[in-house]
Amino acid sequence: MVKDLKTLIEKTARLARLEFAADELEKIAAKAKTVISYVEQLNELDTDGVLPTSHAVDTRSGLRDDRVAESKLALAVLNAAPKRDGGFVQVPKVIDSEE
Amino acid sequence: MTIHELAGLLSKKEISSVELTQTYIDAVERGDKKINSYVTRAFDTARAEAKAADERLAHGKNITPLTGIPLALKDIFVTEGIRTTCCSKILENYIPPYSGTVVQKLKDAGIVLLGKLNMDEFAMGSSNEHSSFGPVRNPWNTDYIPGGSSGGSAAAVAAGFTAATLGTDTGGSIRLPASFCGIVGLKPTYGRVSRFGIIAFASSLDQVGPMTRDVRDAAIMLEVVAGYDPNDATSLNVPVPNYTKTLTGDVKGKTIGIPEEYFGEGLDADVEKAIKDAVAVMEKLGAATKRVSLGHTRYAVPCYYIIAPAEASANLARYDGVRYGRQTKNARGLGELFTKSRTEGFGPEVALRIVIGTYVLSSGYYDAYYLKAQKVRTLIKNDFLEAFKTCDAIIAPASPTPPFRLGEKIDDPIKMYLNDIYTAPVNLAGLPAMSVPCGFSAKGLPIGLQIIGRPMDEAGIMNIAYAYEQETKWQTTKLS
Repeated sequence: MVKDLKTLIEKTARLARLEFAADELEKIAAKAKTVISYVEQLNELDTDGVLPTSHAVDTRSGLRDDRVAESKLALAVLNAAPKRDGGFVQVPKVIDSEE
Repeated sequence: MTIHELAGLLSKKEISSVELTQTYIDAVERGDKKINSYVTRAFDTARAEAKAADERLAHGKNITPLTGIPLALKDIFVTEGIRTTCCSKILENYIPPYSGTVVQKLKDAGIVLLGKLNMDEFAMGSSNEHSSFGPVRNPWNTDYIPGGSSGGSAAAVAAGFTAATLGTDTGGSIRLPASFCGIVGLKPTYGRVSRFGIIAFASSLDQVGPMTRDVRDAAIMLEVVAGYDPNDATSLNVPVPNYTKTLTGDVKGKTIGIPEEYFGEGLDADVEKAIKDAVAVMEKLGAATKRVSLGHTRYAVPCYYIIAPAEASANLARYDGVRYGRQTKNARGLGELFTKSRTEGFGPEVALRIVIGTYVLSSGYYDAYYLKAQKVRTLIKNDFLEAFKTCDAIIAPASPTPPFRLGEKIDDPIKMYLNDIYTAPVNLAGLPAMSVPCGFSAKGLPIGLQIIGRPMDEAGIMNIAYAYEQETKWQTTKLS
């Protein structure tokens, strides 16, 4: 079991672009600890020589033909943006102090 | 009433689609306050679609079994012009600019879209208690949960608020709520139905399937929505059989496997009795039954709860407040825009799974957790393929317990995750499986029988389910 899991969870949350207040961090770290301990039982199994499965069914379907097709979605997609300026989606300025 | 019964009334002009649609609208307005199955009501557009369907029915051309049938859909299906939220605050006002492939197929078939149905946020849950729109209640007893994540879907079908629907199933999210609400739910083989336009949770596990009042309706819906889609790179390029034609009800000569590991500790006595009674029915119908072993069963839930959160953490990285969805008003720069939009927008269960998923994929932990889980996935899949060498289908409970009370398991993640003990192995192996009603608990709550098949054998498992259903008629039990 990893020591100082709470710090590790906080760091992991930052990687996932999430932040928690102190009391929420306690709760989520406790739940995460329970789940992580639970899933570690997979170590009971010897998987030497076993190939990993990423997709249960082989669904390789090949490549599409290289044909130009029309798409009329651009304006509708832009309209979904919380802030936009003409054909651009707007975001706040990137500030040097950000990590 | 079922889709096939309603289609009969429509074709004989005993009712119009406009009248039928209004009947469902009235039922929702009268009864959904205490169930909370709908999150978006699209009744104005539904009435217009019903009118168009009546014109199409009057011309007698291009009629399908779904023309004029009113349906609502789980709020995970992207529907052009109709709000789609995945029951998350982060998508609370998202209006999609397109409809996904299966939605378009249903529209082309002539359905009337009544609205969108409640679910666990981003499909993460087994009880429909993790929704930003509040929990759904089981129509059989409103103190109890309907199952999840397609809880609103199952409840709406059971309560008569939609003729049928589609759900999605990643670890059991069609089969579990179907069993808890006394309806039929099918998770097809991975790749059988297109995932284009389904908001992604775990891309190697998600699958779309019908949730219906009987097996024939599930076959009708699967025929319409299944098939290769060039927009989904994981879609299988295999022809779609005529699933209704193969519902013969004849199971003589079939061998059904009973997995010994599924009948141990943790299985509720009422559920065990119902399943054993179902085995006896199968034998009476002429099927042979035999014990099989799925030796890695107990590792399926831990395996699933590494793989699914890992894939979810990647799929949910797109919700950053920039191109769509909720944007925080409190950001002082780009980094805070991402962090605060996500933190404000995601519920606690989603945040937990993103954290777990990020952890198991992070540098230094990837081999120990994610790679290990992928190897265990191979062992689980091989257990099934080995069993299918000597049997045509496997039957099992859909859930270890009957429905439980609201709030009963919400604070204990492992207790909640163990609801998936009989359903998650099937997603890990990519197999088709159907849940059909097989009785009630002593407290009067529905129990579901799960029938698991070989890859692409939806026809086989639906026929076994149909034979059982026609013999026992559980689907005709009325809600009191």
